[in-house]
Amino acid sequence: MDWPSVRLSLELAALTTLILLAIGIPLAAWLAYTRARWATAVEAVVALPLVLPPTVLGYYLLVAMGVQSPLGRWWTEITGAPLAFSFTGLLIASVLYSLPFAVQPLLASFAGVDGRLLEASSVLGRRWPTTIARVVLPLSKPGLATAAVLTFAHTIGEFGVVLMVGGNIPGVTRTISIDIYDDVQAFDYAAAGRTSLVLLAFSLVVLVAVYSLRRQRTRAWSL
Amino acid sequence: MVTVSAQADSVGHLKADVRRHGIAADITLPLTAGRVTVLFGPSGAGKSTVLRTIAGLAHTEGGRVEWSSGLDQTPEVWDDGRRRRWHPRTRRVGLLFQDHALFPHMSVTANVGYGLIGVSGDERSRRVHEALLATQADSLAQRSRADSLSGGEAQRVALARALAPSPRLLLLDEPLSALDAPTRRRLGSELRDILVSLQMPTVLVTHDRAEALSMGDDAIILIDGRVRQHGRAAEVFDRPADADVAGVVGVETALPAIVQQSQHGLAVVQLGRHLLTGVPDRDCRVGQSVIVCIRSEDVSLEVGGPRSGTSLRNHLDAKVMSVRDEGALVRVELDVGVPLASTITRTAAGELGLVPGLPVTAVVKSTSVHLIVR
Repeated sequence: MDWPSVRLSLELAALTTLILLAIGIPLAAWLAYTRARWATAVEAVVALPLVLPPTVLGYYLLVAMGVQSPLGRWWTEITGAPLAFSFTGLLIASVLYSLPFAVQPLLASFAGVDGRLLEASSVLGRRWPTTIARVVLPLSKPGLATAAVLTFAHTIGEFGVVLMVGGNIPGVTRTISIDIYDDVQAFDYAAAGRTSLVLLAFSLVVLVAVYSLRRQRTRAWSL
Repeated sequence: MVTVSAQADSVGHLKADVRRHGIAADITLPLTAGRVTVLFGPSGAGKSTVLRTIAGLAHTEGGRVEWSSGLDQTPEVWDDGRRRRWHPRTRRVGLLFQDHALFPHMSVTANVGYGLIGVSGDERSRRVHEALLATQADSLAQRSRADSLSGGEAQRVALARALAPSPRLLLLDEPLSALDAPTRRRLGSELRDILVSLQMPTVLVTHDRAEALSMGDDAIILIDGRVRQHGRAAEVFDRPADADVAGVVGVETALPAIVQQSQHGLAVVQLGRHLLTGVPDRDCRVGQSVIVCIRSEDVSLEVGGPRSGTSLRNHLDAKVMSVRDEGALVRVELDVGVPLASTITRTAAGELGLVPGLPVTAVVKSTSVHLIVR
């Protein structure tokens, strides 16, 4: 096992999950409760990474982060280092790529919260952020867990975007799935097999966890 | 009984001109402490929409919602009908939802304290306790989850939650309709006492006639989104302004009276010059006020001198005031000291030779005299 790659993947997945919950909760709350017509368009954009080939997303991100682009230039000016092929660049790409995996379970969960509870909170003098924090989130625990687990697992397994945006720099952007690819390229099937088996087991455990959460939620709702 | 921070002002008014989805209801309510106004009408008349618009959960398209405390201040324009609206949280009204809408994951005390913003420690506990006491729900304070409460318990806790922040106006949306029948009877009688003790201007939505009469001081009749009558509850139900209102409130005499005797499930009340025996809708005490409801079809008439020896119950000396044809039936307005209506067949009316001024005897069976205890 290439332990630096494993560590990097875990770090990337953990950070991506944290950032996505921070972005995903307000975004999903807005999508769940807004009456704005263009919310549908926002929802479609959020879902885009589900259907877009990772290389296409990776290509656009690479162009946006490159030194030719305003964002890339600005970043290099401030930090002194390019954004593309860096861990930060990889993190930004991961966040965008896993966006639907966080937002969709949250959205489904939030939309399932009884609207009268939100109205009650408003009439009782509470602002929107308080209502989300004290009423919506506590009643959306299974959705939160699903969002976190799916984002984490999806980031661990991502390949195309990582290869495009991060390249393959050991300890910086070389994740576990890139490691498998490299082993196969070097005809080291034994190493590739070991790592693959670990990822397979991990994915299975994650899915069992997610589905058992869903089952609990369904039971809770039917009460 | 503990009073939750009563708002003493009784000179202001709430003006709600609600227009939305075919509703055009223009209501002006004086804000009198402890006065309960019933918003009454059939399902779909727009009662809940009016209530929600006052609370700020719905908005009016055109029209206006305005609060005036009557202290020479400019009125607060809660909704100008043109998208400029106060957020519900800034209006300081208490709303009791039809199905309670308690936060299921919170304890009873967390629910009741939810609207106490910037209040903590002892002061918070005190106000939560006071609110629970006011709704006679203090025994529920230890419950750790609101979703373990029964319907009646949840209703009390939800009312306490609405009261705790000391709202300026209390809005109740069909407060008893989500409860089973025995709970509704028990809680209904207590709710009136609670509302009176709160000394808060209150608007109560209901489609239940007995509930309207037992809870309301004033009544507003809403039909198809329009206000059709607004006045003292007993008067509105006793003298509907037109045929539509009569159809909605039911053609009945409804008169306030005081219980003189009460035993064996029957009660005797003073109505005009007469004592009348009837059936109260729940236990009542001597001296308690009731609304006497008598359907005009249940009042029959006899001609002949006043009977001596009034051992017969519910024979009332009356004078015919007017006789009005209603197809096969005739509606006779009587004076028995108070107005009373009778509906008899045209044949019967002809045989009796009814003309205004004729002395008659009105007869009502005790079981047809419904007493709604307040």
